[in-house]
Amino acid sequence: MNTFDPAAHGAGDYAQEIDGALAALAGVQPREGLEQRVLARIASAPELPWYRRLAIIPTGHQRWALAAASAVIVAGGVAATAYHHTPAAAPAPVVVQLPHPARQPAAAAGSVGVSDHPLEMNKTKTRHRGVHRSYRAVHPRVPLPRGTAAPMRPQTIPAPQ
Amino acid sequence: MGSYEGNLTGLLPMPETTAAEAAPDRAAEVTALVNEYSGTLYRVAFSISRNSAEAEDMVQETFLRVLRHRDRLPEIRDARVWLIRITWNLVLDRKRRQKTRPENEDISELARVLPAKEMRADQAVIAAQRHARVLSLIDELPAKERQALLLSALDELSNAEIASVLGITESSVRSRLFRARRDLAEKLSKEGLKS
Repeated sequence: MNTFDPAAHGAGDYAQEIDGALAALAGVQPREGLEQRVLARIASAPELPWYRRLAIIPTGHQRWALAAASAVIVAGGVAATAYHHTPAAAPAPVVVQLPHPARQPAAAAGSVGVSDHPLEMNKTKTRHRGVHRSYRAVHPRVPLPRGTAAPMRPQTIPAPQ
Repeated sequence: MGSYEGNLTGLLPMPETTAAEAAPDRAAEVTALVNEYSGTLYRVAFSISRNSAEAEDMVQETFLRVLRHRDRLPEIRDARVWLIRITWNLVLDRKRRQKTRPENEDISELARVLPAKEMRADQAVIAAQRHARVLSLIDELPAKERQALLLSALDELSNAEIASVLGITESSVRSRLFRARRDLAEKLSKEGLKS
């Protein structure tokens, strides 16, 4: 610490008090392992390329841990590749009785086929109960199969909440 | 005082280095700097922040800066002063940005970190309280005097090195130290805090 002459500076009896506080401040010690924490932080710095980080890693056991982790990752990748390339690896799924999913209106309309001729809008009311003004596009010579619902107009589809 | 980047470039004469040829030794060089100066930089940071976690964070940040400029390491004449200057400016910069943060008046925290030289527990607490009071009075000093005084507390730094860290002349350091101690003694006298 820099020396200070209390008499010369007029600080009198307080020099000891000041020096005591400054000495206490200068004597502060960090927690154990500060150097290791700093090196670990540097090694994990995102702005550094990976090969720089490897160069910073200081101690032997950390290098071994990194090598072991790399080996595990490589081994896992090799095992996954071998699994995907084995033809008998994936067994055939068991067929179970599942309820058929409801046919979607778009799929039903798609099954009708598309005409080469321009289509005209049929705005007449249908006689089906509960369905009116379906605005389905129907070619006059190719009627929709009985019971097939045409897709609704886009404007009529409620927007998702 | 300028930013740490400004000071960093002021210390470094912008060399035309080829990073590839010097790269292998740089990591070892940075590691050696960490091992040698972490403690000093911690004390520098703690003298301003008075907070252990923040001081440690500043030390780590300092070495991250060093790593970014590692290719210029051979140009550094005095690594210790250079590192202290980086830490010092980082801490001041953070303190400026945290103006709303209340001053650390936690005596128990200070008592925990301040060294108690073989004191009994009650004596250590009393001493820590007295030191904390003096340190709080130091915080009330004008910035220039306060900074010179806090840096002078570090055993490692001479007046010339303090001048280099603060970017002033050595005679300015001496006059600031004189004023700081004089003003601090006046404050202590007014407070009636006497050993």
